Amino acid sequence: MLKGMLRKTDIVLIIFFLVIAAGFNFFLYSIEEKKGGEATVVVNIDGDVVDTYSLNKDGEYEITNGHFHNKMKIAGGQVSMIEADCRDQICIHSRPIKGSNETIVCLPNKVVIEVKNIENDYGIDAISQ
Amino acid sequence: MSKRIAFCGVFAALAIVISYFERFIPVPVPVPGIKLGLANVIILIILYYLGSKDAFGVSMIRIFVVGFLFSGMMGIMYSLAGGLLSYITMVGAKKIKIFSPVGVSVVGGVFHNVGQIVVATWVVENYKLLYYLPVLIVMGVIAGVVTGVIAMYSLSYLQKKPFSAL
Repeated sequence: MLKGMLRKTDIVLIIFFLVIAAGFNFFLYSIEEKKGGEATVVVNIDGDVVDTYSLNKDGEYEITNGHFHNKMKIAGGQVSMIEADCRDQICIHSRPIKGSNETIVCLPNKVVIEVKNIENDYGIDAISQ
Repeated sequence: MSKRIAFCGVFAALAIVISYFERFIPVPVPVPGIKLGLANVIILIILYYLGSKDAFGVSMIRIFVVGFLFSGMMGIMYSLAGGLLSYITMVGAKKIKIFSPVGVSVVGGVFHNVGQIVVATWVVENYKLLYYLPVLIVMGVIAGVVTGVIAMYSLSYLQKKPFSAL
């Protein structure tokens, strides 16, 4: 079906984009923070850190600033978003996160949940705020 | 001229309907800013059949109508970033004349996602959103191939039975 539609240059272009994606992926994970410290769940609303929780303590937590309502669950060393009153529900369907540099994002409510290894990280400043 | 306007109107309506129904098609990877971008089929068809000015007009009409009807101001900002970036890069890719419409569509698909995630990163002020960039590029390539193939089939039909006096 694709014969006669794709030119050689198209193939080159597709390979180029895939190489860029792979390279970028490699780069991002090569600058990954060191292991160690305590795995900490950091909740950001609108760019500000509002809460931090230990990844090793199970529980359900509300995330809200009065205008919206989200709820996340920490269980078995994994975080997932279990409630969100946003329209797209992408965060609910996101895979649970457990490692450093993974995020769950609720774009409509500007909520970002990330897992950080605190102590090896300037994130410690965020906690003391 | 009036036929041209009518043609654009019909295609703008099509793009809006496609944008609406697209949200019921589940995307395999839940990533903020990801979209199939099926409406890009329409933009591509107009880009090749009528030209870049009409494609720009229809693209803007789609973004604002869909935005005001279904997703609000923030939604408009994301689609505008994705839509403008993909439009500019597609016009550029078409101009250098070395790609088929499928290649042009791939460029559009990739840059649509790039534009959206960059705005999203800026909105939530967290650079970690850029970790989604690789998967967004790959998805953009896949979506671009699909929309490009659909657009090429449609174009071959349109060119066989052209609208007279357009």
